Amino acid sequence: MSEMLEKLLGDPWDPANPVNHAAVVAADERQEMFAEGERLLDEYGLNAEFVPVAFGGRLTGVDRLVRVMRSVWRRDPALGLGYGASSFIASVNVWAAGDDGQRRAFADLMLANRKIASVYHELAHGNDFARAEFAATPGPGGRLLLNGRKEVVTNLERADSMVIFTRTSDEEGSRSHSQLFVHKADLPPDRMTYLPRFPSSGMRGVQLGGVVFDDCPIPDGSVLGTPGRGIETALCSFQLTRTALPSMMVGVVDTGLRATLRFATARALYGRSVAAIPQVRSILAEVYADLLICDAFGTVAARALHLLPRETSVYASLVKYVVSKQLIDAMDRLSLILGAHFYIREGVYAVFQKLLRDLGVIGFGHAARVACLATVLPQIRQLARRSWLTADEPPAGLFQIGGELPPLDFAALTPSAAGRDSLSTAVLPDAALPGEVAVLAGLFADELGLLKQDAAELRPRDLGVDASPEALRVAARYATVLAASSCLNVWRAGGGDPAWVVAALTRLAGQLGRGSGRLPEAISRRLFDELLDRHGENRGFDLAGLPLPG
Amino acid sequence: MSDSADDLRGWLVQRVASYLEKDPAEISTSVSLTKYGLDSVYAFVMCGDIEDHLNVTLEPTVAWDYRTIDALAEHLDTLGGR
Repeated sequence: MSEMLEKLLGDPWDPANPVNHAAVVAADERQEMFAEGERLLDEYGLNAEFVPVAFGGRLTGVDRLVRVMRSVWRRDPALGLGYGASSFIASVNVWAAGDDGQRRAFADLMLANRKIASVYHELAHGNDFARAEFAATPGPGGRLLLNGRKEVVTNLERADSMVIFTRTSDEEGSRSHSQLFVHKADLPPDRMTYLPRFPSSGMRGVQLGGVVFDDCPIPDGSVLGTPGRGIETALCSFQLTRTALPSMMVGVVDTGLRATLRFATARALYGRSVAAIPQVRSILAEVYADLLICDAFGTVAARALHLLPRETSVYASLVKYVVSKQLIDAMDRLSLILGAHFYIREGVYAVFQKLLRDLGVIGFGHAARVACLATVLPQIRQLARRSWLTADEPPAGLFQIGGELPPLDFAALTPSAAGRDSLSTAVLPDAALPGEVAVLAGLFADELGLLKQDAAELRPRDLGVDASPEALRVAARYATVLAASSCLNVWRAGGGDPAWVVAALTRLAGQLGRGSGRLPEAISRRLFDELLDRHGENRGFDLAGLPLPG
Repeated sequence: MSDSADDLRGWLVQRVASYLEKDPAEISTSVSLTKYGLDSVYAFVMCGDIEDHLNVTLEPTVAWDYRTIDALAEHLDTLGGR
């Protein structure tokens, strides 16, 4: 399926391709969505990727969805967000909490190439959605009336329908909010006013709008699920989006790496190609290793949504935390190689600066990085007590890239993992590991032991919003162990040359202060050669390494 | 309320006081826990502690639905199997 989409969109470096990088950059300069790209995605029926097979779409595995969407993100993140992610975010609430009629209505809109906005954000409250003020209250006839404002919402104006997060009770606590599924055609036009677009440094073509509702009545039957369950619905269903979206953005760094390789192999400095400079080669090898870390952790977490849905409240937040940082750092390091060319908004490498600006949303959009740690912290003592170093092995299928998966069961997702985590303990080395890999795995096993002690010593106040930086660091270190376990076990399951897993674990160990994170010369050379091969053969830089058009 | 519910209430008061680093005497059993600043995710900490204390399995959202110590103690008392 991703092959079909790749073929349709063609080689983005081909000057004759109407949807090449230059056309994407030109649309960004005009601050417009990339119209020709949207037309092709309509032709392909991209929305069907977000619709479960049971409702007529093509959504089966979340890992597969990620692979398809990387084809979009690696060309134009504005399409990734403005064509794709926005409706995807709205959809998971509906699959998780909607009744059959609501789910069918949503699916029908999606399959007709319509847009649906996910209307959550209130600037004043950010990720603290328990304090969101936007309200739906019963009016005189018993009908719900909407009042309040929502800001920086993707596709708000051009969407036909909206999934709106709203307070539905004055009571404090976590049973006072709900999601509504509302069609604009059912609303009186004079009760809803759009706010001007919010100027932004990236995603400049994407509609980022706002809206004010003033006593706006909505039809009966608009609430998704049981009224008051909205926070639970969000915490459960957003496990899909928090896992999948950062992992899709691996495609952005794929292009960043490709642009930098083109530059480094084409440009001569000091009488040789830039790619011959040892420092450049080692940066490229390290960025490649970091990309593989993101792919391994993201893919394992995506598969966990199917295989271990009661554990994913933790993995989803920590994938978002780890992958967002890795990808942003990767682009920053690549920009150093490009020098002035990462800064210039025209010419063959101009796509890089656009990708860099667009990628910024990964750090704060749909849950900020620190909010992701704060989601996990309250669970951390339980996780340590009940699972760390002692959990049973996860199912083998968790690590089989591309392997069959059971259908998603939204009802199995829970807002807390309740101490269940079988991924971290899987980092423990065994006798079958080659020496170099076993030594590295041992570092993370040791770290998990230390984390277990540190978690037990956390004070209660460190588990909530007043958490100290040290407490947040416990959650961050734990995230690194999960990423390491993902890499190790994906390699264990797939076999082959251990160079990449040695590189990945070396990089992750460096983040724990165990070694510098620099790759040993021999490993660096192996990764750089592999990178050049894949670039030459025009294959993806992720674990699957599939052929690309061109 | 039964004796065991009373015991539970006392234990919950101690737990909540320790979360808040306050004197147990300052904790009222009839005030909503959110009023004390125990937010939505903090309920998961409490749920885990209750599970370990009573050796039961609870919905992680139990403290969202039973929002005072009194309500929680009474609910836990009716669960049985303790």
